[in-house]
Amino acid sequence: MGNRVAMIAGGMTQFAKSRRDSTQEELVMEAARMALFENDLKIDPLDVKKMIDGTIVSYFSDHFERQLLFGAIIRDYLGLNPIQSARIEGGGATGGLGLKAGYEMIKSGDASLVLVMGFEKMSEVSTAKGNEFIAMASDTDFDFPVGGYYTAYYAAMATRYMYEFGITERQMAKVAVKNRNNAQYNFFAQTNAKNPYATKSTSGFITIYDVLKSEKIATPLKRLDCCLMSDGAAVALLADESIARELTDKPVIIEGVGNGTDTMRPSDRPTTVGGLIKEDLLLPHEKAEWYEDMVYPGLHSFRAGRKAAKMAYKMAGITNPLEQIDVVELHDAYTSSELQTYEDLGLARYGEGGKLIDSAPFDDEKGIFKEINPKLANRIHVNPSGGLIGCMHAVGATGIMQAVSIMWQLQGKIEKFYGSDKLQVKDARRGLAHSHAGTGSDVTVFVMGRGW
Amino acid sequence: MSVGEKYVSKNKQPLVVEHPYSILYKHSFGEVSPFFVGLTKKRLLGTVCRNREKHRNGKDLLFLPPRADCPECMAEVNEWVDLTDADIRIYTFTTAYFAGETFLSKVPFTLINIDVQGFDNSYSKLTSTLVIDEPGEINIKREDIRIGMRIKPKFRDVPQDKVDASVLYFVPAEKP
Ligand SMILES: [Zn+2]
Repeated sequence: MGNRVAMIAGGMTQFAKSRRDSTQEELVMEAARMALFENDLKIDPLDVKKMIDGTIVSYFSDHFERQLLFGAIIRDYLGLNPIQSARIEGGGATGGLGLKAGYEMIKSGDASLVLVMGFEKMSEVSTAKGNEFIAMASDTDFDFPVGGYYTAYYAAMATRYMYEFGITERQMAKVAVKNRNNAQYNFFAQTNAKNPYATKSTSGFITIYDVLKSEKIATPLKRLDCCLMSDGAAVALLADESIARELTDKPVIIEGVGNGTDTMRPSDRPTTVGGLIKEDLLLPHEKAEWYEDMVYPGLHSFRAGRKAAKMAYKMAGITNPLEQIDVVELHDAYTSSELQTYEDLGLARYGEGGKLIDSAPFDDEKGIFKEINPKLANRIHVNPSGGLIGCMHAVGATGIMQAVSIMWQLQGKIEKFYGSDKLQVKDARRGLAHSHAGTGSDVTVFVMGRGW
Repeated sequence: MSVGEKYVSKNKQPLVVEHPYSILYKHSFGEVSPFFVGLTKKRLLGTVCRNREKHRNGKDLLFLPPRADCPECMAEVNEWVDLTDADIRIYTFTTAYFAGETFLSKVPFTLINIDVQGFDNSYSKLTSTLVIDEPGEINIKREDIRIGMRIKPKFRDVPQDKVDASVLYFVPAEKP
């Protein structure tokens, strides 16, 4: 087995459509300072900093700020020279892949304490230009020139997902209600009305009626079905288990790590009947007979997500995720993709992602869930942070924000950091953090558990 | 006071200036150049790898977008097929009411993934656009667009040095 790796500290900035008050490097400093000074480390934070022997800088686009080699600026600004470092980029999964690279640095023995820093500042260009920069992370020979952009790719996938499985716009809208309203109790969240950087018109509580009547972006997706674009940073401190125990009483062990990939263009996804079984992607709790006749992955499912989940579950000994995992933070780029991801992660059968969201008690008249951070299947909480729809999507920081949120959930520190205990999952023992790129081109899954 | 509140920045007056940026790329389409040349001649071309016994699903593979190399058997793919008159259907679609900067003036427009009948469609669900109000063609309403609907390719007139994938578009080939 060798050494285990733990996450011991984390920090993040206030997320906002625009953080013009600070430069990128100043934002990363803000998150790193929080990671070192606010996570109850047992020795002096600056002595901890001296022990850091590796860093990862994770950011997606060189276009957003017209600055290449941004990682060098970040490391320098935070006083992290001359130790080893690498820049990691993998679209929307940049944060998750950055954490994986940090994990591997420790696992290989090349480092024992690694600071993983994710960041993005998307506000220096217009929203339409920003969408274009993101669209350039699709195939620029064939998909982008015909007018392609990410909401449209996901929307076309959602159309097929609805067609295959009978998923409804109402089920999709419920995801937005859950995540956006959760975010009202997370002080860091872009849509939290109390966030000093929040834009009034795009913050506060919403109902299912607000989602369904919001402006059409790409059918069936509407404005409130879509993730945010954000400025911000998130930082995680990973440690070899023995160092972790010297530095904290509550190390969160990374029990399983998984990563999967798929084609860049959705147009090239296989449509094999029984493909899930043929590609050995069945999870332990699933029966082959459920999926023998199902086309897979087609344009309705994320094969990379399933592959990543299967790998992480195997490493962590998860045989039934719905029973063994208490809290999930997943990449809700769109409401449709949250439902699709329930299925990839094995929290619901393929085709039953809509049923899973319907399992949480909902007040049809008011158009909101009866509780904030509702339990799905009377068991599991998904995206208490608010996810990408409610909290943020500052691309390189996203996967790290979500994994740090899982760490704070397991440590019982949600009130301390988010400013409210409403989103604290009581007695959470094991969590899952999912990070996802493109239309599912790269996905990572981390299973994280209490190490105390 | 939560940790988050304690860390809120005090700076209220950042200085913001403008930085313009523009680039011209000389981009090569490499070995799939015949696809783009084909578009200027109003032909829709794909490539096919017939090493079916070496493919995961045991079938010939149609590549559309074309590929010059087969990702499954790693053979060079030299066979081009003309799909201009093929039976083509809508695999899935979306109507865009917002877009990236370049296409913002074109909304609403409908993006489709196509489904070429007679071939395995694993690698051939090309992304394109559906024009619903083309003069001289069957016109339909956006709400009538359906998965499985028959469509046919059309081509815009452009000189060869200005060709890109948007030269190709589709129109309905059947009434709803
Ligand atoms: Zn082949």
